[in-house]
Amino acid sequence: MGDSMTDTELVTRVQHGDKSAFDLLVLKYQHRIIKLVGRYLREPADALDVTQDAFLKAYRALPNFRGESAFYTWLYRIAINTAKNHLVAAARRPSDVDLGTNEDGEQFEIEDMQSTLETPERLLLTEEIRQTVIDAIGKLPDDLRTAIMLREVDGLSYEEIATVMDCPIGTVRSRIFRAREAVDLRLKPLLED
Amino acid sequence: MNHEQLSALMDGELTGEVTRQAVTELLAEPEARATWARYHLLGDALRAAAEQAVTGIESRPQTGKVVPFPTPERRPVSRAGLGLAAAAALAAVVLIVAKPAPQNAGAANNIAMTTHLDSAKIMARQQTAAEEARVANETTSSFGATSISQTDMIREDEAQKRMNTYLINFNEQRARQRTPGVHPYVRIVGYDTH
Repeated sequence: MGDSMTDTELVTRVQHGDKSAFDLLVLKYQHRIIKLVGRYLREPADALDVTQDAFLKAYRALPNFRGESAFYTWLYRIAINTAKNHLVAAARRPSDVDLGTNEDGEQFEIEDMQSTLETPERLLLTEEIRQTVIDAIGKLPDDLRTAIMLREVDGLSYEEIATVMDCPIGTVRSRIFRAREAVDLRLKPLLED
Repeated sequence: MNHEQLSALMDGELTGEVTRQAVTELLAEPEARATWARYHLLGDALRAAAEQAVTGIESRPQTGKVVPFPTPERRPVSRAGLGLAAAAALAAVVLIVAKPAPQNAGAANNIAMTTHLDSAKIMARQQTAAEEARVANETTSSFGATSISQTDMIREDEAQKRMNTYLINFNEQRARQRTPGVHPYVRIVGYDTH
């Protein structure tokens, strides 16, 4: 998606020691990584563990990230390698002993990082959430629904959506925001319970 | 933090300096961070739903949502069924083909009529023959034997009459000519319909 500028800013903050900026990256990408890792691992619990492991490795390696590729591309690569390593390790080890290692195989303290990261379980995409979002989207006016779908599902930029919907970019920005707010009104109480 | 700006920030639609300011505000405000989380969750839910919909469309025939066009059930053909069909066909052929010999006017009239039947009558006759064969099948174990005996009945009736006529004529002639080596009424004659 065309949001690398935001990612770059967040990565810069992390590299300057702001761990909470990494939280935002986790919140942004966790479900995509869970889905990606889920292609390699059958057990959902394993997918969640490996996702968390991948984010930990990314956090550890982030000081060396030069921004030559997009953050998500880099994270994607780490997640795939972590999933593959998990499969190899699971085939070797007889028990469920789990060691945190970085991409070079070096062990590190998982507990230290876990307290600072959003775990995938906290904002798991449940069926109830999915249904609430779908219901809310279904009740939106056509122009808002089209705008949010083109953005979230098709990944179009505001400029591209403006072309498709034949309206100014400012209108696209407003429509997408209003759509999110309308859905958020239904979503927020669900997550606060 | 302005949520519209937050919305644009998460879409990467803010420019350099504005992005930095927005990120600073975002990191400073727990409420804005919670909104960031929910907005992204919303997007994930939409993508998951869209993916599910696509998967649903692709796998529709397997899920049984589309009822396959019904095909007639092919029941195994029983021997009795085959016998019935064969008997009906054979009976029809016999009725049409086996013309009566002209010697016996009564029998000939009965059978010869088939040559003048129109197609509807032929079909009716075939049905009758098939029905007779079916009834016979219910009382006998061998359908083939039944159909043969029925055919033979038709042939025998006609042939016996021809045979009797022939023997009477032969014996009368034999008595008149006194053919040596041939005894009256002891001639073995193989007879068929023709």
